Amino acid sequence: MDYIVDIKDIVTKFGATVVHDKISLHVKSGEIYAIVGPSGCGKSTLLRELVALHKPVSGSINILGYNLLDASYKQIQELRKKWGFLFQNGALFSSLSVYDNIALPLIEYTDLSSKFISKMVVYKLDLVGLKESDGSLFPSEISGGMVKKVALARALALEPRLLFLDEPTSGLDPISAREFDRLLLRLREFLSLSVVMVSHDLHSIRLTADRLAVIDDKHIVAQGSLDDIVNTHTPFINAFFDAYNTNPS
Amino acid sequence: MAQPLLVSHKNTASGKIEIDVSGNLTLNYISSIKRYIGELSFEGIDTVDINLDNIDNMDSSGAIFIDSISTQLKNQKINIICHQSEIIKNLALIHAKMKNINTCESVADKHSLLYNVGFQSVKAYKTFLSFLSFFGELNYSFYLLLLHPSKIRYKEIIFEINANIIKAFGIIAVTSFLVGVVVAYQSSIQLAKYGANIFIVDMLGLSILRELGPLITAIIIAGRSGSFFTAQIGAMKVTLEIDAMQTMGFDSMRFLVIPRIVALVLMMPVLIFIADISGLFGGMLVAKYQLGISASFFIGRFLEIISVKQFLVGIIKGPFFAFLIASIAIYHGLNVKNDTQSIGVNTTKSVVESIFAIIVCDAVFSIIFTVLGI
Ligand SMILES: Nc1ncnc2c1ncn2[C@@H]1O[C@H](COP(=O)(O)OP(=O)(O)O)[C@@H](O)[C@H]1O
Ligand SMILES: [Mg+2]
Repeated sequence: MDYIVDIKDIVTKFGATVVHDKISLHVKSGEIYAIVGPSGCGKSTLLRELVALHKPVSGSINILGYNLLDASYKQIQELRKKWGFLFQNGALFSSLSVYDNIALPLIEYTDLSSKFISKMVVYKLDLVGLKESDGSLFPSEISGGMVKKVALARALALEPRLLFLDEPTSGLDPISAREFDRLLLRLREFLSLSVVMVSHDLHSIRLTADRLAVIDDKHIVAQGSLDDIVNTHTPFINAFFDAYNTNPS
Repeated sequence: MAQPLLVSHKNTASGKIEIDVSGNLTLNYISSIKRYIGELSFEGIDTVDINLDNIDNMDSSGAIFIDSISTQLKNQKINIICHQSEIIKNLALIHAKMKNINTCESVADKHSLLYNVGFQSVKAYKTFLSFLSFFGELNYSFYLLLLHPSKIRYKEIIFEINANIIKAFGIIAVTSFLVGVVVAYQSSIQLAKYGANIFIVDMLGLSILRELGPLITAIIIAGRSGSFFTAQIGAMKVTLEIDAMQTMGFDSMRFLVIPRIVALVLMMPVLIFIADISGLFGGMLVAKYQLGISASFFIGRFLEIISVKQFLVGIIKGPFFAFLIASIAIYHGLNVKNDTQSIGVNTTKSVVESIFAIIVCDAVFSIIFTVLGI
């Protein structure tokens, strides 16, 4: 029961295609948990299932103490304020400025004064390393790295305890990617977050993840700390960690 | 998650109030704490002690709230009492951060009327200039293509003719038919009063061939193809498709712009012809059932009165209208910025501006024809 995310025997199908065949994993409170696997193995789908954007065929998902698959619409709406989701491409609202993107959840879900909200937005901007003046820019006017930062600030707007990240460092240059990793670690400490992230970025995983799961061919083929995983041998793991073994920079 | 419990002890003698907060000092509860403090009476109080010793949880919004509590209690001295090291640490961190951030309230600057008028004028002027530049580029590309006709993208032109012209036949025929019926019906009542039934032919012939046919066609095509072009090209801008084409050396004028314009310009007369025929047919039906003018009599009178010139006057407007619709639509499509909102804005502009341009153009034609005595 100490797990913040606990999923058991998840089966996912699109039509006749089976994407997950009895996947189980759990994430402890305060942990950064990474999910890796070849492209198309269903990592994004798994994250979407965790935030109730998609329903698996069978299995159980227990998240923040709720049984997600049996939860009522009202309970899911409650839960939606308790987690943050960072989409792969940011998915910022293009008609709203950076400031309004972050303020929107606060305006919608709290009855705080606009003055206080403005303080919180500016604080969140600062937290992710953006300037207050960036707030007036629109999503079409900022770079890819900034989009991710704004999306992260938006995901953090409602002070969630749980954060989902879909390939947070993909599309970033290595420097911005490392910066993002450090930011994530800092936030974890600062906001006592738990994080579930999908990543292809070995550096990022090494730097941030406490534990990880490898999904391949519909199953979890390995789970545990990075050292545990490296010592498991499957074709995907071998290929994936080749870079790690030969070039442990 | 426990709602925070607030207890206050007031000691008027020493001018002191102590507020004990216990439970969760988190986002959801901030406004209730704020309200609680707002309802306290601070008469004769100059010191406020806020005791955070019994707090279970504090998130950053809670810390920001405590940090900024002096804005709510302007006239009192505030002491924060807390012995939990974690919370003290967080408060100190937030305090250090918030000090560097000067939350100036004016997110959107307010400008004077004069500024706004000037700003909008310059913006309109720049839009006009950029349209002219687009227009110039377009003509130059046309010229280049005419020198090398083999480079014309015939396949795209055929595709656009099918998508924008052939598929519009139905809607144009039906709309024009209905307009013919309505105009004929309205005027038949008046004409019958004067016993001038037969003049329905003159009226319909002139108005549909010269004005209504071309205008109805152009307005429908502006709504249909104009919005289609803008949204389609705008989406290509957002997905960076146009940039990709450019990097591969595909000239967007040659690949995207000219085929669409040529397709519309070539085929607009055909559409107007269809509008003319179905409008007249609608009028003829009304003439028969409302005024008792038989079809053969209608056609006989029509051939006698309406010269080919009237038909050509309407048809000649077609390519001009088509050019306006296509170039305005594509110009706005290319103007789309890197976001989805911009597609909507530009599509609206495209349709509104091209209908406006059509009507202005029609007025210019009227003047020219009058001067020339046509
Ligand atoms: N909405 C959908 N309809 C049908 N198939 C889908 C859908 N979404 C994902 N899939 C399939 O599920 C598989 C997993 O996709 P995804 O979770 O996006 O993979 P990845 O691990 O690369 O994030 C893919 O084979 C994809 O084709
Ligand atoms: Mg994915």
